[in-house]
Formats: sequence, structure tokens, C-alpha cells
Amino acid sequence: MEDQTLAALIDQYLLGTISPQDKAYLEQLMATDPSVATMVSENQLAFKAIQLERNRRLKEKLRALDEDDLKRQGFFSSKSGMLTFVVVTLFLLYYLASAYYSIESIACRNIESYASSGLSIKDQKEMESAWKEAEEAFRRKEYQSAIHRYEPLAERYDREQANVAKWNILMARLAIEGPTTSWKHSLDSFARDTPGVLTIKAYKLSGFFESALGRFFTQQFQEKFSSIKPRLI
Amino acid sequence: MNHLHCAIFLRDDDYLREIRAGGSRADSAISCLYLKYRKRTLSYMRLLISKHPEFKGFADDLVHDAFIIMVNKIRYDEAEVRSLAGFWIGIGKKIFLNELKKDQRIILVKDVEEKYGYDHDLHESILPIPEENEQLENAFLQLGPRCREILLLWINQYTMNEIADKMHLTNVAMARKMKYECFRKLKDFLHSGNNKGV
Repeated sequence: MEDQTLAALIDQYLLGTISPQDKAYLEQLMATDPSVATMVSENQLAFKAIQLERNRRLKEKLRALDEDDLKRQGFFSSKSGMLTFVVVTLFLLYYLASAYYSIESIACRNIESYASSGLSIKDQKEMESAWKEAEEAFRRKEYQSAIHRYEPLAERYDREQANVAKWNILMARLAIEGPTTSWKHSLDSFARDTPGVLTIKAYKLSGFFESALGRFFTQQFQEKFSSIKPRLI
Repeated sequence: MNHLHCAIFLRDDDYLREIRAGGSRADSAISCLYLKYRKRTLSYMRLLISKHPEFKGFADDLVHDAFIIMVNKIRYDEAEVRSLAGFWIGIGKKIFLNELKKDQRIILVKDVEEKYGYDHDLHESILPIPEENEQLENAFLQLGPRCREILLLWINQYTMNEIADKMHLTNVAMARKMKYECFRKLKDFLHSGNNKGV
């Protein structure tokens, strides 16, 4: 057998790619010819030396993969990191939601602006200025003053304007006293007596305060924290 | 290190096929396979080691060693593998039990309920024997960098075409000749214990 063919056969034997027939043939050669057996054993030793280096390099590669994976995941890879993230997110969401659903914020979101309709120019200017002053007082959070300014507007003959003023008074009262039972009664009677878009708004608001979300952010929140808040301050 | 793009839907059979194919396909599959089951294996090894505080911090090494043995087994053995994660964990467990036995810290009690797809005893050849290995490593390190690279590519089952391409050699015959020369030199170093560089 030629040296090159034998060398190729031994290579295949070491790499594990040899066919069963060739393997049987080589093993027979090894058994009958000691020089072939020596050659194979020398090659096996050299092969093992390369294998060791390959294993060492693979181990290095695995360590690098670990580090890479750790870097990519970073803070969130640890349980405490993930827990911190969840707690902070929940706290932020709660903070934003309680700001959005605070009584004052609900009142401010729901006030109605002045809309001119069928008035003379003089009356219109007077009305406009009265509405503006009332609304500014509301925005400055001077709710009592806003109520005083809206009251005369609620007595006017223009029913549409009067209803809007009454609605804004209700919102100012909401900002001052919160959704108390008396305020809810006022809202319900307003919804019953007033036709149009404001009725829908009134029912929506009433529905919100009756809902679990509304109760959580208004009644329960206030009841729970009302005793703590003064002490904290 | 470059970020790997591993397909998450690959099955164990696909990894087996790719690793057995050798070359660059195997390199990529090995990295992806490692990343896929690493966490599961590591948490199992940590759990196993937690009962033996004297081995604290050994889990990472155990995972690496078991993975290397698994890859070699896949390459050179035709053994049927049902689950690669189970295979990996099984090897890791075996190595750990061998370590315990070596240290004679405990009397082993056979764990009959759990089966991991690897029930054979670990052959001595795949477990490190430090003194003998040092000699082999030193012989390999006496080779020049190009020789080392060629032999590593060859053992990783790169074709001669790929080796010629990677090593910027003119043709396949040149690659084959260089591999032959390098291998012969390695055998010489091993035989004579010569300390001269290539």
C-alpha cells in the first residue's frame, strides 16, 4: 500500500470519517504489521495534542460567549435587577395614573369654555370677559372665586350658557370637596334636568366615580392617605 | 465578539447534523447550541453543586467541560442522542460525580429517578490527565502559528479547499502538503521532545 493512501486512511480514522470497510481493513493492517500500528499510535498522540488545543480554544470561546451574553443582558439579567425594574415601572405607572385621575385634574379636564350664540355685540363682549375671568380663576385653582364668577352666568336667560356655567360650578365644587354624596346628587339632578351634550358628560363622569378605577383613585386613595398626608407634611 | 444570529427554531437534530458536518457550519452551530441551553444547564449545575459548598464557583467550569465533551462525543461517536440539553446535563453530572469520587468527600448513592440521555462512564481519554496533557500541549506550542492554525482547521473538519482559502494558499495541493508537514513536525516534537521552534 502506498504511504500517501495509508496516511489518508489514518487521517480519516482519526477524524472519525472512515468508512466501516476501510476501518476494518486498517485495523487488520495494524494487527498484522507492527510498523502500521506504531504509525497509527504516533498519529493518535499528535491528534490528541491538537484536540487539547482545540478544547482550550473552545473553552475560551465559551467564556467569551458568556461575557457577551452578560453584557447584552446587563442589568436586567439578574433577578434583583428585573425586580427593581418592575417595581420602579409599577410605581411610575401608579404615580402617573394618580396624577391623571386626581380630583383636580378631572375637574380641570372637564370644564367647558364659553361659546357665543345669538347675542348682540355689546352683550357678547361682556359675556366673553365674564367667562374669561371665571375660567382664569378656575385655572389658577381659585375654585371658590370661580364659583362666585360662574353663579351670575348660571342665572342668565340663555339656557345653553346657563347650563355650561352650572356645569363649571359643579366641576369647581368637585375640585374643592371631591366626589362627595351631595356632589353626586347635584351631578345626577344636573344630568336629569339638562338636555344635550353635557348630559352625556355628566353620566360618563358619574359612571367613572362608580367604577372600580374611579373608586380606587378617588375614594379609597383619599380615605387611606388622608390620615397620613398631614403627618407626612 | 460579534453578535451571533442563531435561529431559535432549530431542533436538536439540526444541531447534530451541522456539528457532524464540520467546518464553519459546525463552528456556528456549536456557538448557537451553547447559547440555547447554557442557562438551563448552568442552573441545573448550580443546583447540583449547592449541596456541596466546597465546590462553590465550579458550576461555570463544569458547564464548559461538559459542553466540550458533548461536542467531541457528537463529532466522533454515532451514539443516539434524544435531547441535547439532557445529554449535556448528564455529562456535567457525571463529571461532577467523578470529582466527588476523586475527592472521596461522599459515598455516592445512585440517583435512579433521573435520566439524562448519557448513562455511559466517561472514558479516561476525554477527562483531563494534567501531566500527560502538559507534555502534549508543550509539543503543540512549539509549532509556528500557521502550522497550529492549519492543524486546528483540519481537526475541525474544514475541507482542504477551505483551509487553502483561509490560509491564503495557492491551491489545495499546497494546503495538503503544508498540513502533512506540520503534522509530521508535531509528531517529531512529541517523539524527540525537541524544543526548537518551527
